[in-house]
Amino acid sequence: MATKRLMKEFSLVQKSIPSDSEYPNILTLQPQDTLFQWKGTISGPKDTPFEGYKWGLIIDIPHTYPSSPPSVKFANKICHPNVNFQTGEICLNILNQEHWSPAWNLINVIVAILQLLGNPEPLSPLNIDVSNLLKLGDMSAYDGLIKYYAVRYGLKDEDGILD
Amino acid sequence: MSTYEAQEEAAARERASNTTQPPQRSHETLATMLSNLFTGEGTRDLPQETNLAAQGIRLVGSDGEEVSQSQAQEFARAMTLLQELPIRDSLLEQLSTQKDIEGVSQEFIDSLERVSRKSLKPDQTCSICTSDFLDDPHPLVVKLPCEGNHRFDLECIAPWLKVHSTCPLCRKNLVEKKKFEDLPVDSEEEEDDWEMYG
Repeated sequence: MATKRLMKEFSLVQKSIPSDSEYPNILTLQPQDTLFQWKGTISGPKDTPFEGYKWGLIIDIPHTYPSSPPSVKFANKICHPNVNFQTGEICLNILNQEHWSPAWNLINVIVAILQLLGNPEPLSPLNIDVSNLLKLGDMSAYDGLIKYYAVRYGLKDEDGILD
Repeated sequence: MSTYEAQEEAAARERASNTTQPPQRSHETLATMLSNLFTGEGTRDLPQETNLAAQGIRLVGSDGEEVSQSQAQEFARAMTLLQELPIRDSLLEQLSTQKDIEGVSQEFIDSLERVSRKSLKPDQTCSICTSDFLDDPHPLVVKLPCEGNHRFDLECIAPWLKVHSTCPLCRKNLVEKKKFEDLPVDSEEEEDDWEMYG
């Protein structure tokens, strides 16, 4: 069941990434040694402090997929209120068993992560420092801190694609 | 005096190093045995495992009381039995079912309304497996009692409904909320009130 569905997703991904203009910020998305391990690369959405830099995503898919959600984390460090700076763990409700739906696919999940970059949720922080800046409304400090870490750990647009 | 003390100290150190050496080794053997037990995939041959376990218990016995051969064998047999049990799987299962997510009963799944092959259109797909319903020459499709009457392959929706009582597409809870009606009246609290006046 999981394999068949992942095969379908793979062919969908091959068709739509990176050519589809609907997903301009998903640069790569491909399975690794097995269909249960994927890697992706995203670029920071326009008009967010992440713009101009790229991050890798590591996707592990359980054998119970799509009844259970995939687990996704950032490969390189990113400063975001809902991402653990050390581990890259992402706090996103649809990645929880409780809020996941089997009608979603990997592209939907990555689109949701891109949405999260531009719409952080300071009330469920995994990075308290940058989250506090957001809560206090100090947007120049918030943007500045994110950009500092983006310069340090993010990949620039002219860099090669993460593999 | 000082030379005697130094000698005594050296001797004590030597004794300590001598006595700690064997238990350390036996611990190592037991530890690797246990880790093998929990990480192994059950592909190794079992007799070797049994010997290893027996050896482990003999080593444990050597620095303490005497452990009889039969006891060691019994222990080894228990260990192999333990390995055959799908402990890891059952623990994981317990973890995932202990959350407050509750699915529907098997009767509910069995009673879902079937959709006949005739009423299925070629472009309709099951959003769980993303396959067209009509790809299957004998599709077993059900519709959920949500507003959209969303349709899924029974094979796809059943595992989902066993742990969730919502429609994957519209999130409508398919089970009537009986929880509030079923709440029993707290009789103890009432009695407490009576006591206040009594």
